[in-house]
Amino acid sequence: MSRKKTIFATIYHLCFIITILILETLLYCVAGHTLEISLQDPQITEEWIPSFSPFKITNGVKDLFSLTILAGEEPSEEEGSFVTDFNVDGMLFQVYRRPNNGYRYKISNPKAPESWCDLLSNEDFSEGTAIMRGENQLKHYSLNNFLMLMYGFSSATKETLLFHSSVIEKDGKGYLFLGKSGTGKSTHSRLWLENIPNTSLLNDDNPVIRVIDGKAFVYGSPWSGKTPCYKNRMVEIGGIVRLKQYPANIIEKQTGVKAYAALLPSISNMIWDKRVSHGISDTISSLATICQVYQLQCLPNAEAAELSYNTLTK
Amino acid sequence: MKEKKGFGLRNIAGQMVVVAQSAENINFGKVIAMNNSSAYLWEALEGKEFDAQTMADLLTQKYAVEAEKALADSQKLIEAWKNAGIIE
Repeated sequence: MSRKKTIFATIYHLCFIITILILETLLYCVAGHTLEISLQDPQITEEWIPSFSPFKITNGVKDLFSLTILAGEEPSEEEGSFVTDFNVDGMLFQVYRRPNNGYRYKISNPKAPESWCDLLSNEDFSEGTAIMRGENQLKHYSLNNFLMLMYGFSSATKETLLFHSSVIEKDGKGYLFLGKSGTGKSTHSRLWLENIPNTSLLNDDNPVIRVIDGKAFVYGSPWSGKTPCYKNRMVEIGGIVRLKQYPANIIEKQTGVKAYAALLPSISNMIWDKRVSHGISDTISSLATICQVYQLQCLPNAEAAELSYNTLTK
Repeated sequence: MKEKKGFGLRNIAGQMVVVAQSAENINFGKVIAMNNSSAYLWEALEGKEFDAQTMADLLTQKYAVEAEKALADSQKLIEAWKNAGIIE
């Protein structure tokens, strides 16, 4: 081969490699942490994760995790040892410990168990591979949840929490409403929006919380449940309220261990994994000390919103 | 009596607590607050078979407390831990 040809071939190959990198590796910055998604399943494009577009960046260095998305043809053989399983939204999550000490999260629909999606991660969730199978609905659900699992568990030791709650922004502060599924978190947010002036929704399901230099902040995220509200912004936390349905409106301050216990159920955890559970526990412990935490027993009415608003901002 | 497996002592917001730390206890949503002496007992009894007398002996070794009072307190603590579901 002539020298000229060699140079052309080299340039051609370089261009090819660069094109692949540009086309297939996407960078996102969520709550100040950078993550990398590599799309290698030809079917799955950026359009599959529209809620991530406000968080897209062109330059940056990954500090949290990279996730590679592959099309799965055959069932993976590597099972690992079974740890636990649980049901969310009617979907079955099965957790296995892999021989390399990493995790395998398998998501399937119990009504159609013949296909499933797998997340294979390393021990600290800094690297993961998602293997996508089955119908598009299962793939969409799994991809979203794999990204949440990777985010929550890779950030566990970075004073960062994915926090199951609805957040209202008012005068530069964020107010978080927590509670068991169906308690009325979104309803309480709506009541603030309807009854308290100058309020807006920051996130309706899974914002990110960070403790930085002794202060607690809440960030919008690509995960907002049924409400499309994917805001790339942050505010300092003004207060946190755990909601409980009740035939009257009663608010009570929680401190110390009680505040900790009020926050604990709102964070996905792996209690058997010391790295993750101690990290999460330390961050919740800081939050319980920094933020005002209340329990609100309430009705779904305007008076409940006014009571929590007046108590938190007095 | 024995401490159930998969529970551990942690310092939370300045307070010693016992929390679930294994997949078998994944649905144990409680956080059990411990004062200094019960945290001391929990640590000392880890992995051991014990009864109120074992606890009372540990208490009298460490604290200036009468044997009778230590035994009565230990019996109460065993009941409390049983109700909390952290011993068996």
